[in-house]
Amino acid sequence: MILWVPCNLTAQETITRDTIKLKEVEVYGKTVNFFLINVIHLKTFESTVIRDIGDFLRQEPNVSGIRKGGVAIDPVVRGFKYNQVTVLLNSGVKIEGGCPNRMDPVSAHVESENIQKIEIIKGPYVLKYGPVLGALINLESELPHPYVKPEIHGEVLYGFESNWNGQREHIALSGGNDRVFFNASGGYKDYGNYTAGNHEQYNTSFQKIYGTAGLGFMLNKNHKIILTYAYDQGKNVMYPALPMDERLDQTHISSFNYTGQHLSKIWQSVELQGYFSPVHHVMDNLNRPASKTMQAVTTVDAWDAGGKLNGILQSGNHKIQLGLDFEHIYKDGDKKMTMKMVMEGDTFTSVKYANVWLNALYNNAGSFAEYQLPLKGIDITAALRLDYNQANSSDTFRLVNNGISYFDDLSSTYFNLSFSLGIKKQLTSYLSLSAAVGRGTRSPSILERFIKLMPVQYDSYDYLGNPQLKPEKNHQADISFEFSHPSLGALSVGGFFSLITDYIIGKVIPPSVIKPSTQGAPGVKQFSNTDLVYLTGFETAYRSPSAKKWGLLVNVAATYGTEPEAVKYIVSGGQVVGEEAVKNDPLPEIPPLEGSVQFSYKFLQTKLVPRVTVRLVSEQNRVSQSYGEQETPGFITAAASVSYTPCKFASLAAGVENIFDTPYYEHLNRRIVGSTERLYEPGRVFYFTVILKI
Amino acid sequence: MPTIENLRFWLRFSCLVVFAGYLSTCKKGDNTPPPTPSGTIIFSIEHQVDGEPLKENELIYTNAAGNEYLITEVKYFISGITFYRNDETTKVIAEWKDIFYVDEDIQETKTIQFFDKIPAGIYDSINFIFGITEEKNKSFMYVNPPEVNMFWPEILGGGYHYMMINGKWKDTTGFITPFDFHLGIGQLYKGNDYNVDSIYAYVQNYFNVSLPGSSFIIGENDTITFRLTMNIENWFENPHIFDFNQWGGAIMQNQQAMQLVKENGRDVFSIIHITRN
Repeated sequence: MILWVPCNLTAQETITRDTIKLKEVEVYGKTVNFFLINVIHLKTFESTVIRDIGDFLRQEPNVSGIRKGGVAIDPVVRGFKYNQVTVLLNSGVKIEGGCPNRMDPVSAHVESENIQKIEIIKGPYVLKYGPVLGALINLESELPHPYVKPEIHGEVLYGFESNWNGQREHIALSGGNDRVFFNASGGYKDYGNYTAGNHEQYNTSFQKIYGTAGLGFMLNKNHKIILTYAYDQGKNVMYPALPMDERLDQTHISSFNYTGQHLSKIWQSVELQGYFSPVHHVMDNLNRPASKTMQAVTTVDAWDAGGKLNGILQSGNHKIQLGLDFEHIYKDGDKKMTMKMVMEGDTFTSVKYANVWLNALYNNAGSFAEYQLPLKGIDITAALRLDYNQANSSDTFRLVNNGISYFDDLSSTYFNLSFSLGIKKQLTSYLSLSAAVGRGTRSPSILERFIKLMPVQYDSYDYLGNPQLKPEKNHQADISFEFSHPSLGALSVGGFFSLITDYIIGKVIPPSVIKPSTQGAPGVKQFSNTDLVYLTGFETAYRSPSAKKWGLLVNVAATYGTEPEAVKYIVSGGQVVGEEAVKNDPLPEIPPLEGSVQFSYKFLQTKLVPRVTVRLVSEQNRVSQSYGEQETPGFITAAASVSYTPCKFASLAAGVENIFDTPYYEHLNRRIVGSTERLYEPGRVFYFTVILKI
Repeated sequence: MPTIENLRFWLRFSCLVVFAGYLSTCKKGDNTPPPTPSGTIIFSIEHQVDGEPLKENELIYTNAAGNEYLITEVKYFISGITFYRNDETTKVIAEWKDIFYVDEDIQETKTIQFFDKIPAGIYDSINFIFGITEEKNKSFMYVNPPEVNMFWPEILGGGYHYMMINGKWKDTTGFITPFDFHLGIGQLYKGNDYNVDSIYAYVQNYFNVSLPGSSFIIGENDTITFRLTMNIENWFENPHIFDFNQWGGAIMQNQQAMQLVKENGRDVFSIIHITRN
């Protein structure tokens, strides 16, 4: 009844309109993409519960996430993780998280309520967005757009989840005319601790506040300028699998976008984009038992600024895209450690300040060219990218021991080459073949170069940066077949092989050289290049025809990673007493084989759509010996939901996740700090989301 | 022309690129020299009083000053463990770990297998530092228990206690009074009180211990276990009689007392057995 009222009222208003912004249009046709791309549209967001983009992305085949708390799950694509996965906002805006422990991966600085579309591109094949090693995730936010006549629209969202009493509130406005247009939004999220299927409650609460504003101008028919600003704040975000909790994280994202189209017969378009995204991050261990011995507070400021200039030229069948881009990162932060001791009746307080980064700088300037040519049924795309990368730091810390230079020369410069070549061949009317080879090169991040003694990886070791790390190079080949038939649906089968040279791993530094500074860290590792590792895997997907009332979506995917020559440290009595070589050691943090089946049915001309999803995840026995990784049992979970869209002005989604309250954890979920217990996933969660639009 | 031949070409080219990348990463020949013949050394540490294994929390001991006492905790650091070879070379344990924490209540800390391999040969003696040298004894270098609990306040010199022997003694009135027999960086105070504002200098109280009867021969792949004992009663005698009734229960701000303890400490360790495997 509640939903019917606004539907009836606003439906009358639409009669007077001569322009209607369509909610969704499905276009059928072949694409020239030779690489695997998963696109998730707004409609999918609205029909499910999303508390975090990283969490949501785990539904995609061969996409996993590293869970350390209730939110800010760090995406892993085909075994590529951290900076091996490039995450962008609006095809160019980059964000450098402040937390060395990746409490705030890029996807945690953007709220799903502001996202229109997510693209996941697997492989190092798309080079126009910057250096890409293993995968690229592009988050497209709602940008202001022109209207033929002056209009104004609004949207409100309220969502609730049981179990951790999670609430989401979101409000958005947009409008304008054909010359000036705008949008604005704001929202709040407040989640408590969740209880897992093992009936244990985990300290995973978090609060988020965010707001956005956008303003656009049509200079004339072909020239558009859009200015955007977004603020995102996380507060009291708890991470039971990390030594600290996030006390405050403030992100400001500003961007300038100019687009010019149809500039001449050859120049199809020009795009200029600039952005600035500073992050202020504060974390501490004040809520942890360890703080009774020693309190630690870390504050980091991370700035990312950059831009790009792209142009597309077309002559006949020949299409060339050229571009330049630049990224500048600044990072500075310190850790304050306080120790209080009561001795012989007196209280003694000792304080130490240590910098985590000290004016660390990272600059990357790149240029690229992409050439597309359709030739008699074969679409060919070739891309080339050159990057000049430079980094340095004002650190006064040096570590040279027994003639070995661990942390000394702080400046490094690299000239990187990336390229890709892909073809797509339509074999029959319904069957196509795609193949691609490519090399993606990624310079070491500012963390891998300059971090000082923070536990930033899978194991609990404190990590020390290595200013002289070499860039990682991924040599990858993909092949896939796609069968797409209007009445049979679409079936795709694809596999990849990736050989990564100069792969960046952690190597233990003896405690006689340096000791950890984080409670719980068993020692110190330094980022180092290993000779090579390889990753291989596959993805298979079937989607039933969207014209049918019933819907079936099946996904099966797996990745296997191997380090041919790894080193395992032998520990006896809590001490390292030796080391041994391990041949063909599985890489750590590689998700196991998994599949999912989703069945849906469209009632009332697609207004009412119930869905049932079953997810089957195999056990993971291929674990890294050198990292002391634990095996993970397999599990099956089920979820059910229903989405009801009585009209375009209102929608309701409700459902239940983990119907059988299964106690389980993903292989990538981290251990609870101070134990070997893994952080379980939430147990049964009932939820609903109501969206009203005018 | 875009024919099947073109397709074959690109596929072959792709394979070539991947193969070339693989070749570029192949290792060159291994030129590392063969390892020097070496063996393994293990320290197995015990704590004794008057020739018997320590019994904690029992008021059964009497020191040279006549103080009846009991021990509740024994924990300390040794570092700079050095093996002197008869060819005048030395082997200092530092390849992996150079400071070792020993705690009567934590069994694994009392057996130390050194990561460092000891070159085969004849060795004259074994020395180590009791405590931690000034160069290495830095505040906040330990953040994890149990070592972190040895923290020595920054204002008193910083770093970590060299030793904590905690217990109780029966004082002159017959009361059982706790003592903190602690050794660490000492302070020199202006005047006669122990106000931290009057500290004008610090004294490093770590000292060298030369183990008597510690000569040995080690061959290739030998494992030698030294059973060491700390004879706790020696902390209270030779050359100085330590009387709790004179110095009180807390000495960490009393450099005069710590100097006395330091001088007593040179002979508290001995080797009681050597096992060869």
